[in-house]
Amino acid sequence: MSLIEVSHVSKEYEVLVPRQGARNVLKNIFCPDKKKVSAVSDVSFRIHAGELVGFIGENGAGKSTTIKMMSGILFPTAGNITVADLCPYRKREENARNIGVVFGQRSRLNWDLPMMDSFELYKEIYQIDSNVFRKNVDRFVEMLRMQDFYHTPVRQLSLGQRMKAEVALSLLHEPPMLYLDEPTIGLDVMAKQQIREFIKERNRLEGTTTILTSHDMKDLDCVCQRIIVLAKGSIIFDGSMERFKKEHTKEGVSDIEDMVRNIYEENVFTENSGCSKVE
Amino acid sequence: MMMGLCRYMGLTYFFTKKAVKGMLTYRWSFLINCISQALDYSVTFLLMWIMISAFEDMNGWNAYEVMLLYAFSLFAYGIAGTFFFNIMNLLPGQILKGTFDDVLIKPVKVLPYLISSSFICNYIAHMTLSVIVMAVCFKALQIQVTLCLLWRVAGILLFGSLIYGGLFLIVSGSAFLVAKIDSLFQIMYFFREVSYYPISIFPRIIQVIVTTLVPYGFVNYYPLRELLGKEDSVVFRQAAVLSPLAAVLFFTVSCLLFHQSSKCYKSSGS
Amino acid sequence: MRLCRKILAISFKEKSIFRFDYIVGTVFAFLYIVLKVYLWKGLYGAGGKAIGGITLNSMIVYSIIAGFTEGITKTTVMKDLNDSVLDGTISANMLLPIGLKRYMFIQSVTRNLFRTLYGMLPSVASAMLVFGFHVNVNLVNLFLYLSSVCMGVIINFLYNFLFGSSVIWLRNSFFLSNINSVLLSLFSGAFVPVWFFPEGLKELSRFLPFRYIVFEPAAIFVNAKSPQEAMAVLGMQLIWIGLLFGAVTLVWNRGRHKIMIQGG
Repeated sequence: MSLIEVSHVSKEYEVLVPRQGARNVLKNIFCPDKKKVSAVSDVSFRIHAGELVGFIGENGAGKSTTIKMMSGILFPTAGNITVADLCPYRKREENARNIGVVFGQRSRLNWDLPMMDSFELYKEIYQIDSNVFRKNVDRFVEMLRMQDFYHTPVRQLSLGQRMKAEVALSLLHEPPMLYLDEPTIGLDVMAKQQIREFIKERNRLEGTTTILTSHDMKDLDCVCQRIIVLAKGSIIFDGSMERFKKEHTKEGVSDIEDMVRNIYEENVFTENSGCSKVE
Repeated sequence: MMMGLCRYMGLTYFFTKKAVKGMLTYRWSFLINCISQALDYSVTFLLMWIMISAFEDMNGWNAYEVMLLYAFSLFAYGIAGTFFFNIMNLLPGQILKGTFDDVLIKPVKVLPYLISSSFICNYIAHMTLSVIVMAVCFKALQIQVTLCLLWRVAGILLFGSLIYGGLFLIVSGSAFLVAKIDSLFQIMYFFREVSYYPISIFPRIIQVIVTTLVPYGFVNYYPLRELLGKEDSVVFRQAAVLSPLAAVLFFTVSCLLFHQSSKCYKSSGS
Repeated sequence: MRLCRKILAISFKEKSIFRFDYIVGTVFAFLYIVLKVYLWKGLYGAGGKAIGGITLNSMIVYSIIAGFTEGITKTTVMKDLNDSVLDGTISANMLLPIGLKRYMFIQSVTRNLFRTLYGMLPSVASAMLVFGFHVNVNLVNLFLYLSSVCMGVIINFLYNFLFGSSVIWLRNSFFLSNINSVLLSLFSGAFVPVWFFPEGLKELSRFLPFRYIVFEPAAIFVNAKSPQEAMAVLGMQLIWIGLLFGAVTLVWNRGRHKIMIQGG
């Protein structure tokens, strides 16, 4: 029984195209040109409980969009998503209790106060039992070695320290599912290593189903058992890490980053063959 | 339902504490801010008093009565602003930057959460000044301040704040539809300004529109008309009794509109 | 002149992009005029008699023209000076070949001119159409009004510049700018003309420059002054300009010195 089921999901946006020139000012106000942009196109996959899945793709490939749809932030234009028997965008509130989300490019912590204050806020919002809360806080502080900067305002933390706090925050309410959208972006090697270890620990100890998107191939290599490669809104590979390496190792290409680059380049040539994507 | 209400009240308490803490941290600039707001509104009160005193009255409302209208409106606006202004102010930025996603990821209903978390202390000056003006006007009009009167006044102000709250929500909700809504803030200021004057100065058509579409008349005019026993000619003479109903209705409609607009939300892409 | 055109062109582009703002702004300008019309109608009551020598019709015209004048004479130079001193950009502006005062003056006037013409004219014109009140305007009056408005613009600019420069010593001019706007709204006559003020305030207003920014020009426009009185007003405006200009020069020279020493 799969925990997460995404079937034939597409997401299209309508974008206004302003016409240039002074003559078109009036037209721009009253009947502007519109263009359909496809972010995600007919994507399907299944994830089982306890899996550690990685998403790779270029910027604009549709990774973040897919995660947002799975979190209930966006409605898909077509297709269905089921997460733990719930439709995330229809039962947003219930689904929110089951997921923990970390956005690498945005912070969910309160900027001016120490992380504890944000933790307390989340305790209120997620209605976490006091004992559970205390236990988790202590455990995370220890596992991520945050004792030194625990009381510092978030504003003064380094990016690595902040990201550890973000990851801890997302797991306070012990969700069965964890989505991480580029959590290691901009981090130094030590911080990256600690966060990767932490994610693997959680998955091993608690069986947290984890989805990780990243541009850093090492992240995925270290952490994930299975990867899904997205390009221009479609899945071009979905399988285990070993299969990926086996299939895409060519002469002189043993580095994962090169493999992925090759895949992107291949897809640029095939993309114009009958696909309905406009960019 | 009750559980939900308790939960959001708990959250409100939490955020209120935070807001008060923040205010106390920057207490001097907060104080200066309050004083300048108080000065600003005092001058407007003064100008209004000068204006109406130069003529005998405005459609039968003398200077003190009109200032009472103003004070009631300002106070109701203050209560509403305390809970709703920050929604209107911050929501467009959150939508633009995509931080609104954060709200959607939490196991809370969007609107109650936004209301709980938007508490600000900045309207203390408005409300204090309004109370002072009310006291002065009641004395000047020789109205006895009894417990019964206070009870009525509290009711009028509370329902009035619901109407302003509804307006705030309608403007905030449009942030989901239009990128920048700074110009729409004027809606709030405009209706607040119009509410300072008795509705009877307008021709019948405008009176009808103003009572049914955006019922700001129920904030201060209709209730005060009854309270003070005014006889100026207005289309809906008995409207005062409907004030609470109108307030609740309008607020409910704006909540629904807000909810509908929030469905249009598309977060900005990566 | 070319500078003016450039700034105008940029303003135009900015306005076109945020066209929603523009439409909303114009609609509300119109609605505020509507409110004022009914306000004064309500005050004058059914009688329509002239209070203090001013008829209802004149009062409505005054209201509109005062709003218009207020829009033209507005300036953000106090805040701009404040901001640019605090974040250091003032040094860059001081390097321009034309003096800072002149630069900020041209900037203020051009921005305002554009905004007023595009924003207020449609609403004023629509209001005049809808309500159909008549305006007695002869050429002499119009000329006197325009001269007075020009001087009002200069007075407001100089006054704001003077108090804006205080930020060089005070570091935070928030309170000062607030008092300034409070005084302006009280005495400028944009909302309630000085005619209706009680004696004490009327006397006080004679010694302050504020009434010469909006009130006096608007009063000229509605024929509340004979040509001789109008000339006297222009004279007073010139005196104020002289005083303020002197003050500004003094203060600014010192301030500029301080900035160049401290680096802003």
